[in-house]
Amino acid sequence: MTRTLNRLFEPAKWGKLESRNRIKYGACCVSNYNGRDGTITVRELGRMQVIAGTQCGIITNQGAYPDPLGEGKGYFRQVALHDDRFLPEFEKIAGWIHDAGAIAIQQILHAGRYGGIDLGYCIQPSIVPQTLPHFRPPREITKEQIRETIRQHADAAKRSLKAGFDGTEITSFMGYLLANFNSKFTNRRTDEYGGSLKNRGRFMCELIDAIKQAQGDAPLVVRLNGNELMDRWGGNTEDECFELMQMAAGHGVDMISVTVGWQEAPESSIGRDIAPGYWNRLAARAKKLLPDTPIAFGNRLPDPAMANRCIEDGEFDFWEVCRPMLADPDLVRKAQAGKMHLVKRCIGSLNCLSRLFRDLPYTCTRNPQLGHEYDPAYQVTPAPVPKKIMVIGAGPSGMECAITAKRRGHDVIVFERSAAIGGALAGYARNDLANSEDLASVVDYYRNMAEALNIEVRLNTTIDPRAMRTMLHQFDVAVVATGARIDRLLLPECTQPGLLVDALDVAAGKVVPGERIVVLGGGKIGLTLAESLKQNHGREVTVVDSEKRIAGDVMPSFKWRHTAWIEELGIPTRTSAKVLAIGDGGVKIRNAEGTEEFLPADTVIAAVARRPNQELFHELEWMIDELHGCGDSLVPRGLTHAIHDGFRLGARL
Amino acid sequence: MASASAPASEAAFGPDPGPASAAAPEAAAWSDLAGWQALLARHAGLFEAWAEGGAVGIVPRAAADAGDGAMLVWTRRRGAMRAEWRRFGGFADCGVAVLFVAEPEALAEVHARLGENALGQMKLQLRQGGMLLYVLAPKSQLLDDGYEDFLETLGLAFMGACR
Repeated sequence: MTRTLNRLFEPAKWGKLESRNRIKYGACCVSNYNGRDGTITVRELGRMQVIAGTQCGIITNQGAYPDPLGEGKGYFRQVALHDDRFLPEFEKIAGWIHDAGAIAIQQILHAGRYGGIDLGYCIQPSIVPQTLPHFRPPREITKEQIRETIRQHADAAKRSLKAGFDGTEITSFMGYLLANFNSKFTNRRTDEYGGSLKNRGRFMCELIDAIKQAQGDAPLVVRLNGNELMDRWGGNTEDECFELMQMAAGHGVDMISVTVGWQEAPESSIGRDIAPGYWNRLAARAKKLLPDTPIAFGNRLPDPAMANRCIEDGEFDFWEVCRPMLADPDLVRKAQAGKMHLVKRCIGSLNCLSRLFRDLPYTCTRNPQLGHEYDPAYQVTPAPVPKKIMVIGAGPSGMECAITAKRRGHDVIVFERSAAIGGALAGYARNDLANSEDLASVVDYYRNMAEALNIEVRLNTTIDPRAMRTMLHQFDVAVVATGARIDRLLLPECTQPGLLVDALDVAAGKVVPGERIVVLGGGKIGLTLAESLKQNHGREVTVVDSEKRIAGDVMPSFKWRHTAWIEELGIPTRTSAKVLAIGDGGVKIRNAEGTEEFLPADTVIAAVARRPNQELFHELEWMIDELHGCGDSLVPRGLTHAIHDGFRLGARL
Repeated sequence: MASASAPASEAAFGPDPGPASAAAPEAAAWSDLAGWQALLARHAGLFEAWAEGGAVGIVPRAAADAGDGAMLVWTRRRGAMRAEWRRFGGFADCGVAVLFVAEPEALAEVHARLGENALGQMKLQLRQGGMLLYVLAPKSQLLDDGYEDFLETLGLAFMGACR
């Protein structure tokens, strides 16, 4: 074990239980892999078998809704725990967690304001309408329903223990029922469950009491906000959040997991635009306030070394980690072995959550196997016949393919025409305002894996028919992973030499643009460049797009971020615009109002749609036995598809 | 659809002008029906898809908290947008698909930009917490009744969901 992480990996007593380390796998939303009736599926079991083996000391199984009506059901395919008929699958999961030497915790999740997904309504303490259209209109929960809801939670807790779990967890993370009672934003009741903080916290205290009574000395974890990020709209202040934690501790909870934010909060809590460690102070405050209560924390804390430091400094007791382990289930093992450079880091792309809020199963940009653990097509198995494979292009798709193929026993050489691996991603990372390091870590990972697996990468090497003729019959397979280029045919011809440049060249630092810039294209490439040129280089930038709105190709949960940056940075945009001419010191467009407008520019950056680099498919067709393609060279999309394509191809070559 | 019943009398539900000293930007923002009407006319294209009777409302934070007060309504009637006053009697059955709750100074900021980028300012206020948007109709209805473009312009689709 690396000595620097010794606090993280030390065994820890937790009540009568002993955890082999201070790492708690967090329930992390829900997977949406299950049956519409709440039954656990083979797909879910496959995922949980992998999670059980992550080497965490405590593993929390995803939140199950406790009521038969489904008022607590917040996700399209959330698991249920309101009946004994669900138990056999829960028993399997608890068994796997125990077999792997971890403590098994079952989360009970009543989504409250975000619940009732199959119903025409949700229940919450008071009728406070939704601020997001995804959720259901509210009904006020009656006192009788409060009693019944508490009973259902207690029954679900008993059922969890019956299935073999060691303890349970309730959650107010992101604005679920417990948070709805605690918060002034959604609790406007005038009875004993509303009004004062004590009254608002009454539901939580009764819930804790009932569950503890139902499950005896088995531990109960409660997830509570250190900050709701809703205070501007009448939600709890941070101080009130901590008073609620004190109340929970006073009722004997066995661990408090500190969380941040509501789903409808107007600011980020866990996206890539939040610096790692940003919220650690909330955990530290909880620990200081409640020194005798174990504190778990992990929001936007993806780094084990930082977690170790926090534990060392007494800021919290357990590192609660989920999304980083969706990205790389071997994270703990690699950290323990001192191989953090080989970890596939969670880059906060929010692909997982973007999908969840479209009622889709979650997937991970970095980990193509997530959600496919049960599927033989996604297993990295020894190749029946080792082949000699040339991968052309060292971007994410080509490297993912090369690594997967190499792990299967193939002999792989990567050819890259530029001087470094990373493809277009390297330039994109350099200009990313959210967190450049996150994206750069993807490139680092590929470089480190190539070295670790001894994959030869021939840089500054262009593959074309001529080069190929010198290597005829040396390879069995060629993989075209040559990416895509800006489609200049979509633009009028530039009449001024040097005025029009390619976005990918600017991103890569090959071209230094002038002071006044017009970016043609308001998708993720154009926006990322425009933001960076304005913020980091002080350029005067205007963005022109033919669509009605910018950011059309951006991940849904991140679109707002780009539009916000564009506004905050004061970058003018022209949407629904047609480019008429490029030259004579600028760009002539027809704007949304139908009038012609001249935008002066020293540099015009082409960031319009890309077209795949597919020439090699034709040129190499008669020169190699097997010819395949992956990533943007097939269809230009984004990082997630590039990585997934590369993996899937590597797994079946 | 959130149908817009015709207002009995705009004056009856209009905002209390308050004492003369309250002729602050906040008061002007609430009372300038003509200004809001001009905004709607200038952005007519944005509302073209709205179904007949489609309506959104704006109430001051105090009225929303009290469940009573005047509500500025933007509604589509006979193919055109109208700004009008209605009584706000709480969230239930308030007759609008979307309700904006505004801090007085936030609405004043929007109002101050009626001649420029008022909707952009509204979007900014929504993001900064000066205004809050309540969705009173199901998502499917919002889509069916043509609110999508308008709401996207205000950044709604970009907001929320575990960021």
